This record gives sequence, structure tokens and C-alpha cells, in this order.
Amino acid sequence: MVRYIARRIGEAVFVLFVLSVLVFLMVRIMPGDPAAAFMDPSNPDPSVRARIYEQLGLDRPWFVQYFSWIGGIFTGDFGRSLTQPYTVGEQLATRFPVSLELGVMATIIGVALGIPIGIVSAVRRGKLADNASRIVTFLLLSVPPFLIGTVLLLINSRTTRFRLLGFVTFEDDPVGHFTKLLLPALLLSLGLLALVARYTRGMLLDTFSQDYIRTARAKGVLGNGIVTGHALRNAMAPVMTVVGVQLASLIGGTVIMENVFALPGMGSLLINAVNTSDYTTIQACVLIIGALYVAISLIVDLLYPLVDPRIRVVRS
Amino acid sequence: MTVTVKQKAPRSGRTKIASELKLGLGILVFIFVASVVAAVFPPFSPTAIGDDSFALPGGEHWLGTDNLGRDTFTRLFIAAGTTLMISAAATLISAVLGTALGLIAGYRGGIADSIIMRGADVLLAIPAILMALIVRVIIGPGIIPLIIAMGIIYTPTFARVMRAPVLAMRDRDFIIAAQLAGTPAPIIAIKHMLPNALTPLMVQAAITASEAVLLEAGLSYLGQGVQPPNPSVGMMISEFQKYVQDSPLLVILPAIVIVAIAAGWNLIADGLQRTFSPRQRDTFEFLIPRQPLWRRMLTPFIGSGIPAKNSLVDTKKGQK
Repeated sequence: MVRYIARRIGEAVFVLFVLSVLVFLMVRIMPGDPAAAFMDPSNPDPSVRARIYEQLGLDRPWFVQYFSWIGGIFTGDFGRSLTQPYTVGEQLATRFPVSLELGVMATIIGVALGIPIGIVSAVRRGKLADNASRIVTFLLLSVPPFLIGTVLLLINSRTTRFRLLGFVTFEDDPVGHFTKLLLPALLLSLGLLALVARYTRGMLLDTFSQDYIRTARAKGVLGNGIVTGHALRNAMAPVMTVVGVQLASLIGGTVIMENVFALPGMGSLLINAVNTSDYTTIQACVLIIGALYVAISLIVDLLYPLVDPRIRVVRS
Repeated sequence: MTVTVKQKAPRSGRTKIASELKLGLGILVFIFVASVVAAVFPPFSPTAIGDDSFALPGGEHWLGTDNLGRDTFTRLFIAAGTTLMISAAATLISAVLGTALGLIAGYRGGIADSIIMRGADVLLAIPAILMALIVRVIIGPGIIPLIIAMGIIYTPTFARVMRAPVLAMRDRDFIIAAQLAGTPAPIIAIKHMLPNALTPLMVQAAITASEAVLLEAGLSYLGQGVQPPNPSVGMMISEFQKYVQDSPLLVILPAIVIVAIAAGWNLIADGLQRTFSPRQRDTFEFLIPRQPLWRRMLTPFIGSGIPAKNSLVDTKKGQK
């Protein structure tokens, strides 16, 4: 068990290392001049180029650049923004919690709604609840969440006029803070919800036809007892895998959802930075959003053995 | 007098093609044909600015015009064709790369396996949208960078999907027989192993394509995907939001097109799954039974009337 945890953490660290190299190389393997976006093409100003190169650390040897960059990150120093008068670290400090909250809320909503929907769908197979949930989950996999968000906002702006956009900090208004995040989080969770519901249903239907379920029935275990006591636990491990895999697109979805709902998170920061060629900010955002995903998926993996004890034996 | 009787081929021997597959293919073929029409014989130039803004559908402009008087049909279906093309190209690239890597990893095993699968783990740990933005920063925005980014990011999934059946097949008799006959490893992999793992591969391809559609739409919505003046469905939605009062169709039509393309790929995935490995059941099974159409349309509301098979947790009878 300890070995499994250690190996899993080691893998996560390795993934982060590769991501950091990728992000580091991003600015270096660009064809063309990274400073080009900041200069007048007809009349290039060498002092601007010198400033950009210095801020990106491009004026030193490669591996020195990498280690000073990564070393800075460990001390919270992400460099200065190339376009705005602040350090990237300051921006991250206020924006990271928003994205984290959004991602965690969406994950919890997706799992907490997806599993019960899948169970009901499996138990009431072929009935109204099952058919409805199958249609809805299928559609949710085919509709991009930003589209639902945009349409809801447009309808809202013509009719009910709730204040759905924007953000309030927890200190200013704890209730408003959560209500503003609730809709984006719910929309963000829909893809995960749909997949979890579908897999839960499929896995449960599979386990229902297993011998040991028949045995349990023969012993006289009643309907719901079979689901909760016998089938569900065995069906959960593959569902957890789906959660783990789907998290990547959920975390990626925060980038889009923050822009739709004007939330001051990492995603909106990242898109602004991409539009203004603010490379230091892009690097920091990509690395931190990636790290957020790696951390959450690590937690999901470490929860595995709690759900399915067989994994403890197999993996360790 | 001779009577020739044409005999129908016996149905039992043939694979019954799931209706999801037909429906999904139908949707995509329709969109493809419409986009070919829009691209090759456009009724109007997609970029020509007309003096008739916010025209309603019908007459000259089949689907109306936008704020600049550009023809919506032409722009919408060129955009739909672009989306379709990007999703297909990205899927094809990642499927070819991933299948090759998965075959090598599964068949060779050992060090090749470890390297390929660890590499796949690393790539899987990077959200697709981040990879797309990294590539966009390096080589600029546009269609080609999108295809490259998605081609990279979806490769590991195919490697995983391919590796598992290859591992299971490696010690089977027909593979060992081929080895003893002196067949070179690449031939064994392609001729004997690949066909036996085709179903999961095709299903994964369709799922990947639908994910690519949603990702492309999202990126274009943020202005990081397909660039103007090329029309793109995601961009149309973000651009026309502000005109929703003047012409709601300008948002509704692109929305329908995105959902139709993504749903088309998802239907194909479900249909392939159900056609070739029928153990996994039904997305829309209840819509197909041999009952009259009016009865089928009521099924979601009043049930099919057919008792569910193998249902151990039947709530109606036997449970007290």
C-alpha cells in the first residue's frame, strides 16, 4: 500500500516535470522572435527586445534558464507580467482559489449527481426514468457546456434578469460567493455527470448478471440490498477510472467557463495573456492549471483502494 | 411461363447494424454534403458583405444573413465543414499514431512498453485545451495548429485502447502459429492483431472525434481556434450573442450545428459498440422496437410494454 502511494506520487512529480519542460520550451522553440509582438515591425526598438529577453530569461544558457525559472516557482516567484504592471505571482494568488473552487465544486456535483442517476437508470432499466436519463446524458455529451451557459445567459438577460455574471469574494458575501459559482460549476460538471451516470449504469447492469448477485438473490437479499451491498461496490472502480480520465477535460473546461461567466480565475487570465502574448503569465497559468489537474487526479487515485479493496492486493 | 423468385439473403447471418450508427452517419453525411455545397457552389461568397443585414430565412438567402449582410447558409456550412474536417483529421492522426504505438507496446513489451505507456500517461495528464493553447502560442492560431495539438493529445488514448487487446492476444495459438511460420512482427501486428481489436478502436475514434468537435468549438468561441475571416461555428456564437435580439437564429443555428456534429459522432460511437459487441446495450434501443411509430414515440413516457430482460431488481414482482 505504501509502495502504491509512493509510486503514484512519483508519477505525479514526473508528469509535472515534463509539463514544466514543455511550458519552458514553449517560448524557446517558437519560430520567430518572442519579442516581436511588443515592437513596431517597421522600427524595432532594441531596448524593448532587451527588456523582454531579460524578463523571459532568454539572455542566459538554456539549463540555467530552466533551473532559475523552476527555482523561482518553488519560491513563489513566477516573474513579472510582460504587459501588465504586476508580478504573475500576485495575480495567481487571487485567481488560483477561484479556479480551484470551481473545479472542486464541479467534480463534487458531477459525481454526487452522476452516480445516483446511474443507479436509478440501472435499477429501473427500460422504464421512464432510465429512458429519460439515457436521452439526457447522451445530449449532455454532445452539447458543449459553454453553449448551455451562453444560451442560459441570453435567456436570463431577456427574462428573469438574475445577476449571474461576475464574482464576489467570500469575505464580502459568503452566500453570494457560492451562488455565483454554483451555475458555472454545475454547467462544468455536466460532461462528468453524464459519463459517470452512463458508466455506473453499464457497470451495474454488468454486475447484476454475475453469479454472486444471483447467489445473493437466492439467499434472500432484497432488491435495494443487492444494489447497495453487493453490486455497487464492484461497479465503482471502473467509474472512478472514468472520473479520473474525465477530470482533465473538466479542469480544461474551467478555462472556457470562466470566460463565459466573467469569473476572475486562472482561465480568464490565461486567455487574456494568450491574446496579449504575455508569455510569463501564459507559462505560469499552464503550469498551475496542469498541476491542479495532476493533484486532483492523484487524490482520486489514492481513493481507489478505499472503494475497491482488490486494488490494494493487485497493485501493492 | 417462368417465375423468377428473388430470394432475400438470410438475415440471421448478417450483422444487424444498430440504428444509432445509421442515424449518426446520416447526420454527418448530411452536414458533409451541405458543407460541400457551401464550399464548392456557394450561393453567395462567405465573406462578401451585403446590404441586406439580418434578413430572415427564405427566398434569396436560405438561412438569412448576419449583421454584415453575409449569407448565413454559406458561412454556417463552411464552418460546419471545417469543424468536421478538423475533428476527422485530428482523429485520424491520433488513431494512426496511437494504434502503431499501442501495437508496439503490447507486442514488444519490456522496455518499449514502459517507455510508450509512461509517455502516454504524461500526455494524458495534460488537459487537451492547455495543449491546444501551448501549440497555439508556439506556432500561432489557426486550423493546422488545432489539428496538430489534438493529434498529439488524443494519441495516448488510442495507444491504451490498442495495447490491452494486443497483450491478451499475444499468447494465443493463432499468433504463435504465425510466429512459427516466420511471419515478421509488423505483419503479425497489422494482419492478425489489428483486425481483432478493431471494434474498440473504431468506437474510440468516434468518441475522440466528438471530443475534438467540442474542443474546437470552445477554443473558437474564445477566439483561439479558427481565425477570421474563416467562419467557425464557435466564433459565430460568441460574435452573434450581441445581436440575439435582432436575429436569434444567428445564435440558434450554429448551436444546432455544433450539437448535431458532436451528437453524430457520439451516435456512431454508440452504434458501433452495439453493432459489433452487442453485450453493451442501447442508447436509444427503446426507440427501435417493432411497434408502430406512434407507440414508439410514447415509449419514453409510458414504457415499451416489453418487460426488461434479465432484470434481477424487478420492482414489480417477486420483491416483498
